[in-house]
Amino acid sequence: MKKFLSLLLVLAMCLSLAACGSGSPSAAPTSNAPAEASGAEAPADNAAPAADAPTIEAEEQEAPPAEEEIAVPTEPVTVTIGSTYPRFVGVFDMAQIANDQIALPAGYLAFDTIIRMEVLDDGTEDYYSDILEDIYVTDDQKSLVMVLKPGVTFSNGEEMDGYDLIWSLQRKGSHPRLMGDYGMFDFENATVDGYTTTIPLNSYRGDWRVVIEAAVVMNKDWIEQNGGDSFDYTNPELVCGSGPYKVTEYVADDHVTYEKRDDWWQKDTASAAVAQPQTIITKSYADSSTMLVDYQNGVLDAILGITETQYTQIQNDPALGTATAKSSKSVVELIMDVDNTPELADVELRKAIAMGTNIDDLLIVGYGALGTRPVGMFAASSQFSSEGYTFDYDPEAAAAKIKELGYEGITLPFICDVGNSGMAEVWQEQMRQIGINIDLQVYDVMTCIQYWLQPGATAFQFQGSENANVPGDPSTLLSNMCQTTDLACMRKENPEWNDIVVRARNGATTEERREIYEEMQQFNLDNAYCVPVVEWLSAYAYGADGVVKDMIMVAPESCNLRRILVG
Amino acid sequence: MLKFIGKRLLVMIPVLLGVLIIVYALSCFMPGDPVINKLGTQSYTQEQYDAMEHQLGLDQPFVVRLGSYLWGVVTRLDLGESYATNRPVTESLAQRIGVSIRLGLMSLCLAALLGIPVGIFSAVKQNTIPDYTITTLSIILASLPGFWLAMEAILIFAAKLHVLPASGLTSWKHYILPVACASMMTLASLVRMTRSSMLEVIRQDYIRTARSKGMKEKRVIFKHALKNALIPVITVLGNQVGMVVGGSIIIETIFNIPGMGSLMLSAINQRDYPVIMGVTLVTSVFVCVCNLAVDLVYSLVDPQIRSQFTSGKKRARKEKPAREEAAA
Amino acid sequence: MSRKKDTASGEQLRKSSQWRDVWIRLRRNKLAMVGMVIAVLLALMAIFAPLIAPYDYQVQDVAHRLQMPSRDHLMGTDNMGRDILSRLIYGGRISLLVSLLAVIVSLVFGGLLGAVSGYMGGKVDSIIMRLMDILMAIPGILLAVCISAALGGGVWQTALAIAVAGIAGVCRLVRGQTLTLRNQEYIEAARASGSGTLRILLSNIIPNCLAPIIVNTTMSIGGNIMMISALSFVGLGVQPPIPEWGAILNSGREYVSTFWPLITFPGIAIALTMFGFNVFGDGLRDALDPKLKQ
Repeated sequence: MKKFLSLLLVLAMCLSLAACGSGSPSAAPTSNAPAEASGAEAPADNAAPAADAPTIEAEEQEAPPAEEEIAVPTEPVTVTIGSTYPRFVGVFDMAQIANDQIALPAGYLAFDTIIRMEVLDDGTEDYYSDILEDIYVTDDQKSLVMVLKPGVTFSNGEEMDGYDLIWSLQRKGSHPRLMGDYGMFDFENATVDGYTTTIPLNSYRGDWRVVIEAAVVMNKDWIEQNGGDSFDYTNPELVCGSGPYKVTEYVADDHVTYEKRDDWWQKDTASAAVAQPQTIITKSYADSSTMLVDYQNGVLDAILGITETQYTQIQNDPALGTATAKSSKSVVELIMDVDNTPELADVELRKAIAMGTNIDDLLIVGYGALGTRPVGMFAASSQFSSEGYTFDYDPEAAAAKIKELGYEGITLPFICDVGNSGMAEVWQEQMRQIGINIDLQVYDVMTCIQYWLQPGATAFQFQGSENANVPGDPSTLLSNMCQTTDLACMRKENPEWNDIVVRARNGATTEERREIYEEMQQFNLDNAYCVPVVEWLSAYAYGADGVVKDMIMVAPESCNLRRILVG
Repeated sequence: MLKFIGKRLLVMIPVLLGVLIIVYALSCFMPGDPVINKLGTQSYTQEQYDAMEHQLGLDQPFVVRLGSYLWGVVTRLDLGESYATNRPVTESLAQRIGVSIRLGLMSLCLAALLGIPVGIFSAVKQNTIPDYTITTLSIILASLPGFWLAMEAILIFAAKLHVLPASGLTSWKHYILPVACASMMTLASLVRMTRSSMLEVIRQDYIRTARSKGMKEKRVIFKHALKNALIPVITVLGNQVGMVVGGSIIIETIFNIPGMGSLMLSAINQRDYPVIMGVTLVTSVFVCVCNLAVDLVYSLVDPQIRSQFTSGKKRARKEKPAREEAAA
Repeated sequence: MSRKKDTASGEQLRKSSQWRDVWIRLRRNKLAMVGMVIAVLLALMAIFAPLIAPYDYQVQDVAHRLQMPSRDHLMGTDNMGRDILSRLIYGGRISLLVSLLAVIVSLVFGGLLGAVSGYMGGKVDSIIMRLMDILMAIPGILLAVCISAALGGGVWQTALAIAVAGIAGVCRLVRGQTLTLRNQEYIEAARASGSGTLRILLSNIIPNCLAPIIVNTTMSIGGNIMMISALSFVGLGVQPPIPEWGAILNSGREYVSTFWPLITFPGIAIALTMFGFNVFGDGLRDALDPKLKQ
């Protein structure tokens, strides 16, 4: 008996010892950020935000910004940032996650992008580059020219050259998802002359910046030395970028620790000065409410991609720091499958559906405080926006029209991704009110895509006009609402429409393109291809524990974590 | 003894193969085309599609694919590559398995170390107020949905009272909430199982004899009753392994623990079939091994069972615990 | 469990008096009665949902969303302005229906397999049991998640996913019962009188496994409701606007710290149902197994 009991006891003890004793080597060293910060007495006011971020205009070149004195905290500060974006803590293969922009923010600390959106001094946003003196397309629209700044070095000390730029673009473009867009470059005949790199263009597109936006420059030689095709992009020790931070620890899907580089090449510029925290930890969360609790408890100094309820909650409670919302520059459209759903081929039915859609309710449920009523197909914050291209809400007229057309009681399929399920459910009920049944199925995005690819699987789809951080180029929308897309539910065969789309993408000047976009919206108003639903904002919060004084970014998704100011 | 272990290990092999086949077949039914997942949604040509299909080996018939998958698993422990990260599945499993096993074992230990004594206490004090309280409490605990409990726990202990951390596993404090939440169900069913098993044993003749001989009650309980009462309890504990491991999908997600459960959830959301298969397989191995351990503990307790195992009639004896488990 | 019996009529008589005994024992167990009342009330609520529910479960009023409980809306309104109480009442219908469907499917398949396995013995037995070992090796929730991911969302798919996860348990239970019954005299008598295997299984063996099956079923209903809500939690399960409890609870996750009714009431509903079926099942088991009662 005793033998047995002691055996049980020993077993239990062994197990629990094994459990506790082994510790957690992989776990994050939770920062005592508040305590550390209180020691730092640098006044926050002196820490001027982002001194001079130079603009890169297409044709002209600007002098590097003047130096400015920045108060640096006396003690090293650790900033921990949480996010619910999937793969926020990703793989350091910037080409592999090419289209997955949400995985990039963390990478921006260790890598430089060729160009990216940035908040400028005057509060406006424009393309910006840390590493280039200049980038432009020649007047004859035949080649792209990039001029590197002298002295840009990777963390292994090698200087960045034009071959790195070409290799990085080519690698990104070889990703099947981007092959179409990158087909405009003729990489084979690219030339490097000192700091100047020239890539001939197979074709010219007015929105070429969109194509190379957020392309990350990687160290070609380093990757080739360390395995080439079998290079391990998940190994933190092999991460070699030109950014102000280097990766010191990487726990898959949990967190990445970045340490400030003492030997960063851009010592004297404004950007260098604002990259203040000694250590930045990016942490990913599956559940946003857990993330908020950690933020409230000071485990996290800043959180990205918060929900609308959390945004409102933080705004109403000064103790929770600052919540900032930024326009995504994207309008969510309810796109109708004109070509594959027989009923929707009838323009009158489409118009009735558009009339029966109460945007305001969709907006409240889907985005609440983080959404605004759209003015048309394109975001009000976009340079191509023009007003008056939304549909008027009139449920009675819509119901009457549907009855008159004989569509009352029809059932249409709608396969919707989880992110838009709230809006879809509200809209389903609105359609029921005007006599149309929606067979709504909600799946994760990957599953949805499988259905969206099949003609006729879904009659509708919610689609944003653009991934965040582009100055209003509705490139996502245009590359999908045309003949050449694979997403059957969005494909449009109408030649007149396709002509407009092609002209809009290739239009030369902003003025020209704005006119074409107006034409496009008028066409949409007459044909009801899509219903603009909401222009959404994304939000981030910081400063509940006083560590982070300011964070400057275009949008949380595009966040440039280099511009965190600590006090 | 060794022979017995060896035999059990041999039995595990076809079971695990069966698990592999089932999971692989299921993954083929899942909606979606891995080729398109890999290619993305922008334009690609038929040649690109075919090339990718060939590269992924998806142009082979089902049986061939299954065969080569099985062969890879058996000979090289190769579970394929994650669609999402392009890294071997075994790599991400290796990074996460420790956390999950630690959490699972701690939850089971907590449940056992707390549940069995409380169950005994409840049985000894049958039909008294403490007994009623314990019984009712354990039923209520068993009735609370795991994720609801976890969310409320975070809300109360982390958000309102600020006494315990909400996420991660960096210090002993971090373990309290997830382990407590993960063990709740098991704890409740162990208390109930121990109680009813004790009651059953206590009423048997040899206990009555022991009592009538004037033996002290404590001695009766611990020397005679407990040993026999524990046999079905151990079975329940073994069966709870699956519950705890399966439940980790929710616990790890809410407490933001980078274990196999949260890996499974993110794989489901990204339709990352190799990862889904890998997690399911590893979990099944874990469950099988735990059940083997339970059987070993059994045979130490009761030589009769061991002899039955080795003589091949193991089912006859195992049915009773199985029934009680189903009822519990 | 029915004891051995010689004549059919005697058996029936014995059976009816036996069930009366069970009922009497059950009535003495107060907790079990509470459970039974809860279960019956839930069933009534599910059946008469349209009569009880104060509002339509799908009519939205976005202007009045996230309202605290009031006289108009006893449990408040959800994020789309729908009456939470009405959704819970209709949701009970779905949750119970899916759960019941799953139980029935796993009973039919698991029961048949178990009975065949136990009765036939030999090769058939070991093949079926190895199959069940495989199903048992995958934790129920993982198996349900995998099947659900393969089949897609919906009432039937969810029920099937949960049913498959439950088959192994039922199978082993019935097999165990069959093993003990198979060599009893009345079965042998039936066999001697020339009854076929199927006939013996259907008319003698399975009815005599009824008691543990009933207990198991009662317990499973509660457990399944929990499993359905777990599936909803991971984004699988029934599709909107069907107000399944887990789905309602899941929609409240975003409001966990700002709007308590949306997470508290469905949580209570699930817990109450689980509690009801658990204590009722417990009581039934005690009542059916008299040697536990003093």
